[in-house]
Amino acid sequence: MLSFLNPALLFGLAGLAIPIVIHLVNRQRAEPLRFSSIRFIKRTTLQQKNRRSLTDLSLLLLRLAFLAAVIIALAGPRWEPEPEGLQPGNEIEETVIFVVDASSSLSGWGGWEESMSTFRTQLAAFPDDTEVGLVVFGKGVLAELAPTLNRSLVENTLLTMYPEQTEGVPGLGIKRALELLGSAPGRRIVVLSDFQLSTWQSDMLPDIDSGTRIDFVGVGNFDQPNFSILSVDSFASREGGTRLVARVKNDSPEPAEIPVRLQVRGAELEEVNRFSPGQIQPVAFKVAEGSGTEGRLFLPEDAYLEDNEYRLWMGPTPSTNVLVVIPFEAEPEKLDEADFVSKALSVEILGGANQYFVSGSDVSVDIGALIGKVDALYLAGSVPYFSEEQMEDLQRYLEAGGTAFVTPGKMAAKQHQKLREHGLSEMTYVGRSKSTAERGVPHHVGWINPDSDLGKLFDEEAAVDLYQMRIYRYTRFRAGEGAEVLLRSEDGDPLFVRERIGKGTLLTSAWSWDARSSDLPLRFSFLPLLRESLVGAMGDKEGTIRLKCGDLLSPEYLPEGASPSDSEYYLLTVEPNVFVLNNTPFEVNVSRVESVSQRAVLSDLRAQLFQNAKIVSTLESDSALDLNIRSLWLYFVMAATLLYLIETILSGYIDSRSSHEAHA
Amino acid sequence: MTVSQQDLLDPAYLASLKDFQLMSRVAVDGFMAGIHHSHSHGAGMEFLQYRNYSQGEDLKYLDWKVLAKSDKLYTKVYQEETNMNCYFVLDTSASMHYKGSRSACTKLHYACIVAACIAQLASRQGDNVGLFAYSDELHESVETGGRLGQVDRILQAMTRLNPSGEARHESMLRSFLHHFKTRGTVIYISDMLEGEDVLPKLLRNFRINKSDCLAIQILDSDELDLPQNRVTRYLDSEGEGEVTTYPATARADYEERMGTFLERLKKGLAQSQVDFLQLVTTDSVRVSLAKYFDHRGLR
Repeated sequence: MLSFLNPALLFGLAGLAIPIVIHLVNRQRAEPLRFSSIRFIKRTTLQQKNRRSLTDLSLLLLRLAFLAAVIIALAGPRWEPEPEGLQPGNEIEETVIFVVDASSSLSGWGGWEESMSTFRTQLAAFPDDTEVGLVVFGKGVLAELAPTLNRSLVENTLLTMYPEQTEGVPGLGIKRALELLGSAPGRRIVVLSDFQLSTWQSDMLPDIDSGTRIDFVGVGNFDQPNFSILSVDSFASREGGTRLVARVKNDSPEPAEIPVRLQVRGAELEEVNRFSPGQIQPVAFKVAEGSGTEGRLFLPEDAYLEDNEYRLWMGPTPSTNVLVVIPFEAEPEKLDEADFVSKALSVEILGGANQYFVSGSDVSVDIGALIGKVDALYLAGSVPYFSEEQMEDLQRYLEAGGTAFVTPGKMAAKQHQKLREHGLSEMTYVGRSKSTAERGVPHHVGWINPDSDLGKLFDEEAAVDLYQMRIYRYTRFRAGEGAEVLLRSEDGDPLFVRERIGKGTLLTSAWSWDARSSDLPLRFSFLPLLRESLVGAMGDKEGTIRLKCGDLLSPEYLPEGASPSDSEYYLLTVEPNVFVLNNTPFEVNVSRVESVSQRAVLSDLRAQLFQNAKIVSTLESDSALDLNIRSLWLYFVMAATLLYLIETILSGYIDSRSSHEAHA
Repeated sequence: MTVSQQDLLDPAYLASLKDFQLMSRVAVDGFMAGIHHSHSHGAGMEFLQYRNYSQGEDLKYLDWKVLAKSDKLYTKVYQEETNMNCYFVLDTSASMHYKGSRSACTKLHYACIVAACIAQLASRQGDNVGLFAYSDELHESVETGGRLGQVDRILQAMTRLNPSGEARHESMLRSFLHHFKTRGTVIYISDMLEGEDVLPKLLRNFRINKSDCLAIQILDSDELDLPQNRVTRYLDSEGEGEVTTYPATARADYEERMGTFLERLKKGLAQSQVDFLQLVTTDSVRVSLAKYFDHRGLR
């Protein structure tokens, strides 16, 4: 049955009268032209005129047909099969497998209910002697039945299922269905899915051969509005307590007032914000300290429930404690350096795993008491002022796994000497470099160790800023054999060196990290250089780990001998959950990929599936999505092109013939 | 806007100038800039030979340098250049009003441009110029003369020309011939359509009169190839006749007939010892002037 997407455009066919009128008018009207002399112009004979008009007529018809084809193509012609449900193949006996999508999104937008009812009508449409199989897929294949004549088994198997809270991997489902069908004649796959864009487009689909027929049946109605919490980040607030920022999306064509509720240990907070259609907005909460370790955010009920809840860890996350030690009385200008460093470390980086807590102290600090409590010591020119006892404590601190970051002060020579004497460093002091005033130009970094973490962080583009850094004066020293030089100056002097002492690390910089010795604190490189050198020294410490439902835990967090697929650990991530394992907090939430209410372009899917085979057909369903309707506009476009070509050839032929006649 | 020398001679540009005085000076200067070193040799006197001085001769012609060197008296003999009469005879019949699809101006306008340029050149050479313009009657007539402003008078007369009526070559040229007493050059400018029989005979009379005659035919490029695409009703510009035809069909025949006409015309003029020059209105005036000079140079 032929129908049109834009039938109003068919009125354009009335426009076909225009060329006819023009043709008729033109035929009778010769353009008058006052010419110098007409004695050389021959009158064209009547006979030629008649012949001309005959060919004119065929040209006119061709042009009319061309215009009609263009207008019809624009009107969007479609072929809809008679609505009788399925039309199973008559000649060949078919073997059918239903591939049913049971990913999380099917639980919303009325998808699963529609899937069930469509399944029943489809099943009933096949003759009784057709073998029917079943594959239900979510993240993997959830259930499968080889083709069988036992219809009730197939039906009951599906009725016991419900969408999982996981992402769907349709490629696996279709692949399994192909395996179950094997080489049976009349292979046919019926896919029941909501064809969610994010699920289907991101998936690698298997190749289907031309002997297999595949039908896409769309279910669910993505037109219903949906609100979703996309992600939540929590930060320790400087004033104490925790700050939460949730990214909420209004996935509907209407603006909406969306209340976001936060539940923390029985208490409930609510924020109401106005959202434009399709808008993503951050919604912030502030929670007082000690409110508990777990929070839940909720949105009101909508078409898809799974993304209305978000569970998050609100307890302490592992943080790095850094103590900045400066000789406050002897070198008060070192306060600047301490200030730069503590500011750089306390900056909150969105989504950054590490959090730093920075405190400061004078050189009289009891280093022995810091072992196990402070992760890193930033010693800004303080070593020369340490007592013998403090130096021994420093040695113990480093051997126990601490990190010390040493920058030179006024007494750089003494600092190196002291470190050498206590076996903490193999570096020998050589002198001071020329100052910029003496040299005329500042010093620059000339080499970044490509094998180090810094070399990987500062790749070609990022390294530019580091190479441009101006160092006004630095301490020259000779690195020992065990030292790993991270940066060198243009003259080849080591600028930044890492040494391993026991379990710990000693980082030595040849210049102090304040604005007096270099412009580093004012550069983009400052934060990454400082943080990366500290992180690199201490090994990775991660914050909260976020997982999606159905993800398996990484074995490194499990006790030795335990497997992620053990039911004890496997069950932890099946549903949204918050738990702590091996001192690491975990958040498990339903994948937000399933919240996208957009359908994949089915022609793209077909093209992907039938890369080496032809499309067979699509099926009728009662859903809002008319997947089975075949669009015919392309045929009309092809017809129009063909007509245009014929017209061009014919008019060219007529012209050449008439000029030939004229010459004759 | 700067105008290059090449543009100066583009008929489209010249036609846009309207003022013939300005136009002809622009064109002639543009043309001369390329070929002429100087156009002010001496004062109309050309040295011919030395001759022995005979008593009573004017002493101003004595060559004093030779006398100082050799004590011999020699007189320099000059040939005085005579002023030539140059008459422009212009056909201003209605057919000259035709302007084809590719041209920038009508045939008459182009004819005036060419005539104005030649008049300007002739005047600079010291020749007397005159104008006679006719169709079925006399439209403009300017006697030859070398007075100041003579060229201006001719150019002003040209601006008054309005092509109309049928070309009555026979009566008009005969009356002009009657009027034409002194020897000189006659530059006849017309499209010469329909005149292949009568014109050679008429122009021969000027030759008999020991005058030099140059016939310049001005044609529109459309008249050479009939480029119209659609069915066209051609109305005769000088008469009542009309022909409706499909040009594509009639083109070959037209070109053939046109060719025959041109052949006959050229042959007739050659027999009458009248020089012939064909110009097309799409040609650059540079080309037209070059053709003219080339032609005059051969004589």
